[in-house]
Amino acid sequence: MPDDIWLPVRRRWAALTPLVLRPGGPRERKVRFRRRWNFFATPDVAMAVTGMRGTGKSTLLKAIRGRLLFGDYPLGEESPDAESDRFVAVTEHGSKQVKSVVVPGQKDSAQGERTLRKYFRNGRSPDGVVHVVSWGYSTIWDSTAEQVAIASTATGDAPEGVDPDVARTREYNRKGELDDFRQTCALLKESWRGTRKRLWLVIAVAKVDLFQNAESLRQAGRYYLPAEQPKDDSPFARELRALVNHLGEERFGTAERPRIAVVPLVSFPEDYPVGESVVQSTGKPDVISVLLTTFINTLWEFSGDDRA
Amino acid sequence: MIEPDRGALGVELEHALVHAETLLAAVDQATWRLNVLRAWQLVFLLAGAAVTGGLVDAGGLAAAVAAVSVAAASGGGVGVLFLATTRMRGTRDRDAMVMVSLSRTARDLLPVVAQDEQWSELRLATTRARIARFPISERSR
Repeated sequence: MPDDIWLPVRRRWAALTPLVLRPGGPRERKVRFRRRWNFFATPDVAMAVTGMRGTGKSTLLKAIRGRLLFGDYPLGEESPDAESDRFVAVTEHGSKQVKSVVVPGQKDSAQGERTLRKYFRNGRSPDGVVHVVSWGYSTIWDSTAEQVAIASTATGDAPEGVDPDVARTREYNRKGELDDFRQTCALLKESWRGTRKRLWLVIAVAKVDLFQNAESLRQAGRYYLPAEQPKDDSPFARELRALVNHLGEERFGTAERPRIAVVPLVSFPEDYPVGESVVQSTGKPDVISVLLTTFINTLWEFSGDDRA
Repeated sequence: MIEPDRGALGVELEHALVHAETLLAAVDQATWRLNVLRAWQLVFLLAGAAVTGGLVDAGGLAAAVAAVSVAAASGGGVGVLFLATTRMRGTRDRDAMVMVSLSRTARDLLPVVAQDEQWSELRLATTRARIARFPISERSR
């Protein structure tokens, strides 16, 4: 099917996943982010980072801004509010003013509602969205909720070799992740319907250092990517396909070069503790560096620089 | 493992939310009262300073005695109000802590409970709207 917009999206994922296992040499970074000094300049690109709680949205933005250093440990805590930023993206072809906001994962909160009103409603909308998912490895900030997740019987029989607590917690998180993506899609439909601008969307599959093996990456790909046949879509992929169909594929570029991507990512190597078990991070600096560089290049390619 | 009663978590979530809403009302009321008390503190302070200044400016022994009395009364008033606000703030912060904890649990569990117990869209939307009144954490503004 030559006009299938999802084919290049699947190909991009297939091309990137080997980097998770064997990163190869360092990649050329096509854009650098710098501090903004011109406080009167209007932004050229408005970007929103969405995703459920604990997927690492704030950490991702810190990582792409170069504010995380290997050896330093980021303060792993719940963001109490939206985090907005303004910076300059510089390439050899020029520079662009970028405005970004990390939307709280807790959209159904006083701060979440305020952020949605400010950045997605009343005629305002972002040019592009990075939606962060983590295949069930998101951090549960509330200890009671974590206990409920561990005690749930949803996945009574964990696969062999997988700690049952981890399996149940991931299942719990994936339900929350799907619900959050449904909310995000409803929001984007409402926000983007009222504009005619070119759009872009990146699904960042974060924390791949916690499932760094070929089979897990294949499963994650099958879950997050729309399949060849819509009937084979996972619930997540179905929502993604419905969003793009609703807004119109042509708004996300051409069938050969869509501005939609599903990319693997690690912002920072971090273990994942659940109850009495810990899922060890296999994140190595070269893997993280290559994935981050690829992610940043993708952002730049989508947000307007056709020469990227 | 003990199988939880079907629907039990939804009912418990509802109870937690009702309790959190009661606390939210108490926290809002306490915040309003604190603002009123702070305003009275300012009134006492400014009025005391103005009257004392006027009396000092008038000169004389009687005026000096009156100035000291007014200053002492004003200072006492401010002190009493300070103690009252400190006590009230402590109670409010304690309520806010429990409120945030309950609402955070309810928020996190909602999508899973709603899916497992097959809630209607209306019930889910209503509960979500109720939860949206609460802050993310105690550090939220």
